[in-house]
Amino acid sequence: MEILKIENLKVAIDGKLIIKGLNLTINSGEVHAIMGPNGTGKSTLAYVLAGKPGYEVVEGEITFLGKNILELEPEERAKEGLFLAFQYPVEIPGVTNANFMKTAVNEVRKYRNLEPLDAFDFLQTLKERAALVGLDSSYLNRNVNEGFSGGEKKRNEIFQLAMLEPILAVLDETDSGLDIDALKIVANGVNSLRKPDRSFLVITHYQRLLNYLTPDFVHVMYDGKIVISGGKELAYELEAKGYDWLKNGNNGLK
Amino acid sequence: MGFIDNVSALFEKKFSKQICRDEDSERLVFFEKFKELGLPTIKNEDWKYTNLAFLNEINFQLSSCTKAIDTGLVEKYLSFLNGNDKIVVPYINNSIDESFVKPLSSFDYKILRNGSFFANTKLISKFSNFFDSSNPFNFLTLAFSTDSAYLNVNNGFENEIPIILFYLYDFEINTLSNTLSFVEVEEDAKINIIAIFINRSRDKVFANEIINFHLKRNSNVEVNILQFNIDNLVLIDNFNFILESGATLKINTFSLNNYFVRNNLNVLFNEPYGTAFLNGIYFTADDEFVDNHTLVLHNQPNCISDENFRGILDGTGRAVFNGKIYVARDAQKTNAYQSNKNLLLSNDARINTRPQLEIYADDVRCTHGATAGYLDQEMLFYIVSRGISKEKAKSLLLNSFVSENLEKVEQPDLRNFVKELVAKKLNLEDIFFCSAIDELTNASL
Amino acid sequence: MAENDILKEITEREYKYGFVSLIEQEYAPKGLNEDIIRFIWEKKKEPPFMLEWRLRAFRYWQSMKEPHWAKVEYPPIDYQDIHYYAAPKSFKDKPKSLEEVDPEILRTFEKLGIPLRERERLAGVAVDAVLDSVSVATTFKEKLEELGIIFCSINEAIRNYPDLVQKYLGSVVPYTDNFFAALNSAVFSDGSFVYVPKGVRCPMELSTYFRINASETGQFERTLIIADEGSYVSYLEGCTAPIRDENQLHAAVVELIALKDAEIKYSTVQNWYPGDKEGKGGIYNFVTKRGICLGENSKISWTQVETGSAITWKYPSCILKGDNSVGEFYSIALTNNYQQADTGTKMIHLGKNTRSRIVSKGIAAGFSNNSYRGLVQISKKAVGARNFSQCDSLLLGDKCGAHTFPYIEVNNSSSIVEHEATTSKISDEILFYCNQRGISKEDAIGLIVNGFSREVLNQLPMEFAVEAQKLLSVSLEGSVG
Repeated sequence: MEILKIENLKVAIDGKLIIKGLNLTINSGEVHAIMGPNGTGKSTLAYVLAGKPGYEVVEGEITFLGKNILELEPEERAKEGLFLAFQYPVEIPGVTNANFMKTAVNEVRKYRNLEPLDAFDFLQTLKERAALVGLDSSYLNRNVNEGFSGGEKKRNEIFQLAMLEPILAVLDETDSGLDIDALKIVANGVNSLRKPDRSFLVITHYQRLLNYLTPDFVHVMYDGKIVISGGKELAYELEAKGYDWLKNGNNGLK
Repeated sequence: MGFIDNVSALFEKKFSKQICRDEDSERLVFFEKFKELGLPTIKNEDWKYTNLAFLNEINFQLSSCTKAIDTGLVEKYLSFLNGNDKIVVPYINNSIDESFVKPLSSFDYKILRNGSFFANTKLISKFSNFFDSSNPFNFLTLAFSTDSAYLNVNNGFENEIPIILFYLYDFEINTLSNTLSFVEVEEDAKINIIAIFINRSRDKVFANEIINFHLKRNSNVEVNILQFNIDNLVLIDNFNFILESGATLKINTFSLNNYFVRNNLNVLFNEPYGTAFLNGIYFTADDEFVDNHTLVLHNQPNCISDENFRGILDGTGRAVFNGKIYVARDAQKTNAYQSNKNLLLSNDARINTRPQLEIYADDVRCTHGATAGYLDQEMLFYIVSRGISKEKAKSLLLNSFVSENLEKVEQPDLRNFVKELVAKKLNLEDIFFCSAIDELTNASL
Repeated sequence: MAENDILKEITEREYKYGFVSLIEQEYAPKGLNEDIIRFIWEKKKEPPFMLEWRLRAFRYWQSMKEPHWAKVEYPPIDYQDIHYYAAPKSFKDKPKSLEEVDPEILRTFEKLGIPLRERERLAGVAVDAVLDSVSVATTFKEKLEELGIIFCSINEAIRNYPDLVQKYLGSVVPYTDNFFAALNSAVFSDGSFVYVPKGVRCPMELSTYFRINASETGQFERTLIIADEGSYVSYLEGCTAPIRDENQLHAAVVELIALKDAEIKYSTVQNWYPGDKEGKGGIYNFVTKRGICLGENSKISWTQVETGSAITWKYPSCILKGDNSVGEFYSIALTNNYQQADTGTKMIHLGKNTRSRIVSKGIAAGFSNNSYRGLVQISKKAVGARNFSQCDSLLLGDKCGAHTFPYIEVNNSSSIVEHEATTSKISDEILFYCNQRGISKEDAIGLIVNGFSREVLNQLPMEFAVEAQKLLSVSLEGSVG
């Protein structure tokens, strides 16, 4: 089943074109990786999918589960089952993780015509999922991301992913700033959340995350476009040759 | 007719006929002082952002009508205490209603009826220590003062039972209200005060209330000032505090729903090693006005003051914060902090803030900060990206903006009550479910 | 050296520019009336519109009261006991070239480090030297003229460019603005004028050096700077005065106008005679400085190093009218002995997305009082405005005072205003730490004061940064090196 379809997407920030005609289709249960050098529009793509204000879609369409999500508010996209793990998770003083998740989970449940979870069930789920991603439960009672280290913030993103049970999870540079141990923990968390009815779009600069999260497809993004797509072996090729390979001559590109 | 003419006529009518009485000549002195200072204009730095000219348009009377108020009504307003023990000092329509007062032990409690304050020279001399002779309303209150309450809390008294200063206005004409209170807290005593202002009048009431606290050595006082649903009330309250060595004061103000409120909070460190916390939360919506005017006088060394006021301004609401920290020449080792933060939700809302430092001692650490802005858009996007609606995300953030100050209330019934009031204002109906979750996670960890 | 000794040294430093030049002076009679104003007008050979304007200002001034809201105290000023005009006798007719200037005057400026003779001129700086009421000489004039830049005394400008002057004089600071501005408008005698035409980047620093020499006089200069569309100019101002027992009045007005895309950078090193260590004498410095960012994307930046004057009353301000315009205020105010400073700025945000930044560093020593007073006003229409203010005070000794009086007025919900202030002394821990690393207390204080001021010093043009740093070290003389 087709989950996400992006057609000829062009996006501008402050009038400057960043994404210049991008096409991508993701089906149920697939894991796609988008790689590419810095400044090619990878994170812009993540934000546009989540609906961050300030990003102007100049042309093209994005359909998620058959709906045009460009017409939906960010919270509606989330309720439809789209999740973004932020590259730079925001600190929210005064709002505890538990409270934050409880509010979000119940809003999503309401949207799906489910009863809100009672306090005990919710607490149970909370602790279970925290354990799944290796987040110490003491973090549940702390304010969202406040005073968390880089690794803890990323882990907290995966924990939220686990809580909200999305259909498509977009991971924006989740590996950046993580040491190898933290990377493994995050990757294991994601792997344990893989399901036939859940797809992933993993945005990364380095290939190393893909050692732990085996993608079905790898796309290389350059200058606002996907310039080459392939299987997981493309990631190794890219790692071996470096991104300069893209700039010099574009050998082997269509 | 201007305000000065208005009150002059009232004064003439009420007191001049009885001039044979000593108290009336005292009143006259105070009233002349008031007239000399006059109604402050915005040229007066202390009233720069607080325009009182509208008082000239209202014709005030002195009401002698003492409506019977049944205890049930008071209980209703105090239901947030869940029927727990309390001590109530009821200022009902400008006079203290004795029928509510339970017999008190560990307290010396006097009601000084109409004017008898002026006969009590001991009290007058104590009062004079508090005097801010630049504030005309102090003189106005003294000139017109009706009943006064005097509370003395015995040495070492310590009790969780809150003492309620209950101000209820229920008049049928535009009326002035002026009362004096004096709370003397003896050494090592610890008390919790809740001052509540409630207006039931449909006409304008101009209330000038003075409440003076003397905190003796090592005493500990928390004063919560609660202002909500006070339409039509023009309130200028003057809370004055003198702290002796080792005394700790905590003030929490909650101005949640107002017409016109000016809180004058004056804290004087008269001996070394005092500590004072001044916290406030204010909300203003359409046509509401709140002015917090604080003065912390570090006259002695080694004292600490920490001030934190947060405001949320919506509609055409207006707020003023004027906070001054004064550190005298010899007040070395002073630590003084002050912070005032504001969020503006509407383009018609206005904030004027003046944090001020006046420092004459060098071995001090004083900081102040003030901000005005809007909700952090990154935070808002992060929250909505988790499926939470924009409205709710805003409410969560607004609640978190003030939550720190809500948590500072020590009396648990009151803390829950103000949290509930704030949550209601923010349409966060399930706040208690959230805090239940917080408690559960706390307990299970 | 013990800390007290260092403070003593600071307190007892000598004022280096306190010499008196023996120049024959011509005075207007003491006092102020319409005849005196006519006298000044005639001396200055101004067109008739100026007499009208001066008289209107004078009449308005008579209806005004001296302001007393600032945190400064001084005995009443007798405005009838001042000469409102003083000029070197040799200036009866303005000398046409430097050769005609009294050599004593040239020596005066040389002693101040401002050589006016061509071969000795400061490279890269064009100077207008003002002695008491008149402009002595303007250097590099011709070179600037090639670019269409007008840099001359205001008096010359009134005569040679009356249209420009009439259009802009009093447009930012009208004579009705305040007591001292009204007084200045009535009696100002000289000052500098700058016009930078469209699209021109002024290639050198323009500078005016003000010197009060005559006694019992006031100095009332007037500066007007207009930066036309897309132009840029950096302007410097320095001031000194001789040591005299009496207090002398200085009431200047500075107006800046930045049109679309223009930028004006205005720097001051104010070192008027501050009075002696008992607080006797010194300049009363009551100055109105204000700039308007009239056009879109324009920028005005004020930098001031205030070390002199017995009393400073000064608030260089920006009216941010053009959309996206920027105002900046960087200030170091150092007070000592019995000096009093009440200084700060006003940032008036009127246009959309206007931005302002305030960095104020106050250093108080001796028995002085040092106040920051600043207004940040965001009007309803100033959508998306931003302000950040940082006001820090350092106290050296326990007989001085440091005060902070910000006024913040926000009238819309799309703007962000942040104000932060701290007051402290140099902590004993820091001094001990420095001592432990082999740095003497006096060096440590010098280091810390310099570090404390660096953010502002960095804003000064190179030529002035050195001067300003020297000035701060002079203030700390004995404690540094």
